Amino acid sequence: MGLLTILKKMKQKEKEVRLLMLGLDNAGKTTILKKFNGEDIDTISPTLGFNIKTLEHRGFKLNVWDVGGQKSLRSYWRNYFESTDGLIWVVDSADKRRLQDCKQELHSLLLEERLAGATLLVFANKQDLPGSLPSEEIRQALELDEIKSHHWMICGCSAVTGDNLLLGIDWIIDDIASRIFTMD
Amino acid sequence: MAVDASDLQDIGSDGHDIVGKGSILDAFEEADEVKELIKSLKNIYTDQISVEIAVERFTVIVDNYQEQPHLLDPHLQCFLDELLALARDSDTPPALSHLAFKCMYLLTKSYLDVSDKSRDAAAYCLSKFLTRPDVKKEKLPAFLDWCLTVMTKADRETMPGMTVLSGVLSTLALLFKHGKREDLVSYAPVVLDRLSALTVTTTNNTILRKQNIKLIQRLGLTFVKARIATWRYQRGSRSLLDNLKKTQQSPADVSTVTQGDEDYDIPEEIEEVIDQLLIGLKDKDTVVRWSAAKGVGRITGRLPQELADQVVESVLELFSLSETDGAWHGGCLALAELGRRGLLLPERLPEVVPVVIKALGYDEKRGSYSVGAHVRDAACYVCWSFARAYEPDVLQSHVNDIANALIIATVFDREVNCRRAASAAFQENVGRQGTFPYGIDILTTADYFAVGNRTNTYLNISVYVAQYPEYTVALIDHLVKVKLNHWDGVIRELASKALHNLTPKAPEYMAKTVVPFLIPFATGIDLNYRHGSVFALAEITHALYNIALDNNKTVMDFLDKSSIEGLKNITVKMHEAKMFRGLSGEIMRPAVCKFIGKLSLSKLPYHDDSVTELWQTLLDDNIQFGHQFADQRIQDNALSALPSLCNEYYRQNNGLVKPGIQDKVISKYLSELKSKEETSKMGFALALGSLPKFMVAGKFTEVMSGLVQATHINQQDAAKMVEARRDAVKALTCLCTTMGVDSNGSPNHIICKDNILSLYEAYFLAMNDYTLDSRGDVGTWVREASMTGLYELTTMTVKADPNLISEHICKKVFCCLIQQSAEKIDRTRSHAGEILLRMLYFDDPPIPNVLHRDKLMTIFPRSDLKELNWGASSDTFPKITQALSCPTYRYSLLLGLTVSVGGLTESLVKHSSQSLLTYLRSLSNNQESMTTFADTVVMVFEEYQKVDRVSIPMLKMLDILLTNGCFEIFTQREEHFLPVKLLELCKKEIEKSGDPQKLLASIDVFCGLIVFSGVVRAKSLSQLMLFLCHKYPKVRKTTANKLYESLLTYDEIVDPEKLDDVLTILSETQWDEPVRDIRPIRNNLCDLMEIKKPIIKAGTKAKKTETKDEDEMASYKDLVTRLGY
Repeated sequence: MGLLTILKKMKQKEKEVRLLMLGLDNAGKTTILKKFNGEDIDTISPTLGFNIKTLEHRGFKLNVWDVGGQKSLRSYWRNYFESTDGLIWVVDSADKRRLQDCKQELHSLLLEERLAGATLLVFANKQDLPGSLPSEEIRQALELDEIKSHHWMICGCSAVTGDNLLLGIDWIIDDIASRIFTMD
Repeated sequence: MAVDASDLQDIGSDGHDIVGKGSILDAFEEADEVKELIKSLKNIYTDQISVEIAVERFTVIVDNYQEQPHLLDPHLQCFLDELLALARDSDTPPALSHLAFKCMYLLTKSYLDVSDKSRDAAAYCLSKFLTRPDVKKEKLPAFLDWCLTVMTKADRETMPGMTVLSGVLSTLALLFKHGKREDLVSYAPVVLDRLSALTVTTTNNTILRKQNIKLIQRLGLTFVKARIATWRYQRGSRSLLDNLKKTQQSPADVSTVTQGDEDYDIPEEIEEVIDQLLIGLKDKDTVVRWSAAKGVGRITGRLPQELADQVVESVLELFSLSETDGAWHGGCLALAELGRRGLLLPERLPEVVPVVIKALGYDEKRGSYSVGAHVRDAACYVCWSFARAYEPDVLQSHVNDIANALIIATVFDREVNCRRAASAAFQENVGRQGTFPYGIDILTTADYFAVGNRTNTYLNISVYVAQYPEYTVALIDHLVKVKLNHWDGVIRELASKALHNLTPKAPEYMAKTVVPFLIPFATGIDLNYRHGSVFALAEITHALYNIALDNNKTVMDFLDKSSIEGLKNITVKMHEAKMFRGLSGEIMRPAVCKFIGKLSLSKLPYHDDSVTELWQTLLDDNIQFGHQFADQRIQDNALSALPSLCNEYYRQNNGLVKPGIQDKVISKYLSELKSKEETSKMGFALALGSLPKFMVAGKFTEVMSGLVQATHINQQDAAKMVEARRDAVKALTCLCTTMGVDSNGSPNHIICKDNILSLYEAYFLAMNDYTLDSRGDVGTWVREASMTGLYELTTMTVKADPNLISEHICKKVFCCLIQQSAEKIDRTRSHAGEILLRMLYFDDPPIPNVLHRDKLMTIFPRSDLKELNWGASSDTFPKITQALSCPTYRYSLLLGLTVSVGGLTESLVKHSSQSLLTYLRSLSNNQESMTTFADTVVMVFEEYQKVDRVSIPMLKMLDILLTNGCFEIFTQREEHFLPVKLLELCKKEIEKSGDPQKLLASIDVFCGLIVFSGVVRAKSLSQLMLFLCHKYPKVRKTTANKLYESLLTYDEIVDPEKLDDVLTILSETQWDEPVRDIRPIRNNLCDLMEIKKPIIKAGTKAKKTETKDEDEMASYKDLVTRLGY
């Protein structure tokens, strides 16, 4: 029984869920994670590499991977034993100029073999900023309705105020749980 | 009501009988009755007496099947459905559902002793049922009693006994899992007591031991109250909801460690439980250890800190060298479990970390292999769990050690699963701790996929990691001290190559520390380390030399005098200590050859030192005897070291060879070339080929003729020396490349117009090597080597002076290649075809005098150079047959094609013959070109008359051509030369031949030849008539069949009025009857067909009649063996 088997077993038994948080740089991924973890969000600098945090919620153990948004850091989430159950795509709703970029990145990401079947939650972040686009417009800009390969939902939120964060997490957990955990 | 009381009485006593008879039941006979019984429950539940009777009856029936519950299987579903329907229905009165459950209970109990999955289900069902608040009071004690009795009674020597025991144990384990602690705590001591008395730990059954540990663990958990240890190490607040609800942004609580002064009520038994679990950690099976580790983790969590600490202490005791690998593995699992639950307090880390690091490198030798991969893997699990368990600042002081150990495991572990586990643990640490030096960069390079390939991790990733000073020395030290002494030779060599690549990262360290450290080990007593060290010293020295070269220094600027002296003395000491003998010698030899080569390349200052003489002797010895060892690399390494040695130590400053050396070496090698031993002949041929130019200069003629001589087939041992001939051809090619071409040079120094022809002749001769032995066509090795030689020689000559390639040479070269590229062995055909195209399109400058160049280029466009798959007969033959239109190549091509068309492999025959037929059709009955083709066929046949390699396929090819009517054009003219000639050749071919394959093949040809009217038909028919009385019955039968078919196919051969009779005779005669019975029938046939009866020659007749009877049997036997029936 190697590490691989132990991890697999543990995942099933302790209801571990692996969530990957991705998005362009400055979308607010680390802020969301720190908010989840109850940490101070005043001092946040661009993430070089990645952070992993484990959180408990409704009896599930969430392993949240916050991966830096820069292109060069893409290789991290491609690796390793635990496959990704859910993808949290964070969008800076106020950054209208880069929405096109954001759309392309997201769609090419969903082609990744290792993300096949993962549930997609789009956080339209920074709703608290004046001039930010509502989630309905983000949905159109990102052409989310084109996505047939993954379960998805979009959810407007604010990492700073914490609005709607829980709503999104609850949805993604429900969706994942209905897929992967069987009744004991 | 289903049964009345008197009936019950009867059946009750019957039931006893049945139980007594044991497993004689072969069906569940009472199925309907039980079904009725269950259905009736609804009606009778109010009537106390009826209920009792029904339950009694049910018990009796089910008990009967206690031994054979599988008989119940088909009905189980139906019963359970009925019972569940009753129980689930909310309208059911409690009494009824109680009854339903009672039946279910009885049913499940009998399922505990089966050995499939239904046992697990039964155990689960029972445990759930018995722990219900309403059941536990009355049923639980009785059930436990029953369990304990069964447990004690079960006979562990037999399979059924073990199955029952296992069922009971798993039920109990589940029972103690699901039940409430208060309900069970009073029973726990007695269960534990009985369980210990059973000493399940000594049984060989893994499942039982696992169930045992599991039950002990549950009992342990029953003894102590469930609680979260207040003293455990906690890392911040983890609840998402709580965190989000926080209104103000306050930093999370960091590691709260408080001492709990609560009342712990710890019964004595817990000690016994923990003892058992600790023993379980050492079990020889992984599943048991894993179960025990989880148990240790769970129970420790419920203990007061003081006791918990003792547990940790005991777990750490497992990591001692006197313990087995199993104990180490169990210990690691337990540590990881404890760590994951926060039960390893940070204060313990200084003790735990060194142990874990030791476990990461655990590798215990067991003879020629070792154990420990599972320990290393489990140690990775510990590191992984630590990453999750602790705050970065807690681990900070250990980060360097852990990081180094994990990196070493990631890069240098022998097993892929350990490298991957280490890499995953490293990633977890990087992601959660964030304090691993250069973690992210390393992780990007050494990811899950990259560490999959061991060569890659050793040679490339290690170099990447070593660029960070935190890791450089640790990586090098690990290789030097651990991996060079690894039990697996492959790892030792990889390690030494890795050291070569790592040298540029720390040249000074390598030169000043590693080299002096390794020199003593190179002649030490440990064989593995000796081997590894010699390899490593060779690689490191060479790497240092390369660095020196780049900096305009010499290797002496890095290595001090004593190291240089030490390196020199290694071979001397080994030679004196006779370390090249026996099995250990076999291991050391390739290393030492490599060592000599590398040290020579590194220009170590041993010129004019006697050590070079020793080296020459050692290399010669390995060249000569290398093949006696299983390891092919001994000779390879010696051969590749030889030129380096010559270049460095035998050359004077003026570029000429040192006096005296050349004669000594060359004359020794040339005389060894005449050896009777194939292996030493091979070795020295290759050695001559590998000599550098200055060593051969002045003696080229001598060396060349020696090698050419070695390529010749010596009739006595043709099959034996085939590999020596191959190597001689290879060596010749090598030598040609080293010497170069100058048309006006001296034949003693260079290839020139005086010796080039004899070189080509040698290659052409080698192209005819068709030696066969038990391995098949082994001559193909020689032919392939020769084709390579032709390519090298020709292209090289063309570059120097195209005029040297005469039309004669060029024609011959292309004929050889074209013939080979139509032959039957795929690999040889590919080799020939590729060389053919490369020569055709060689343009630096183009090869002159290629006949039909344009035609060949049309058949094979330039794109074929890369795209054509010569190995696939479907791709090759349609192309190559087109070259039949080139007169120059027609003969050679047809010779090659014959072997393929008449070959054995189905696809080969199919594609080659179809291509040939297509080509012939394209001639569209052009009399002239068909005649030239026919001419060539006859030429080939004549040339290879009685050479079975070609002549048998030739007969088969002729059959194909004749049956496809390719020669129809010649039927119109009587007495055309082709059929006449073919008939003559065929007859000659089978003359005095006893080879059944050949005879059978010729029958087809004779049958085909009867289309040609006149004398050919007559002669063919009389030959067939002869065959009808041939001494081999198989020949007689086949002739009859074939003739029958031919007569049906071709009209006008027999008088139509007599045809029916002829056909009847042919088909209805038993041709395998004795010849004397058949002869009259055959003669009758001759009359009918108007053929002259064969007359037995006077001389042979007398002989035949005498020996006929025994001859009959003997010939049949002979045929049977030849055909391999």
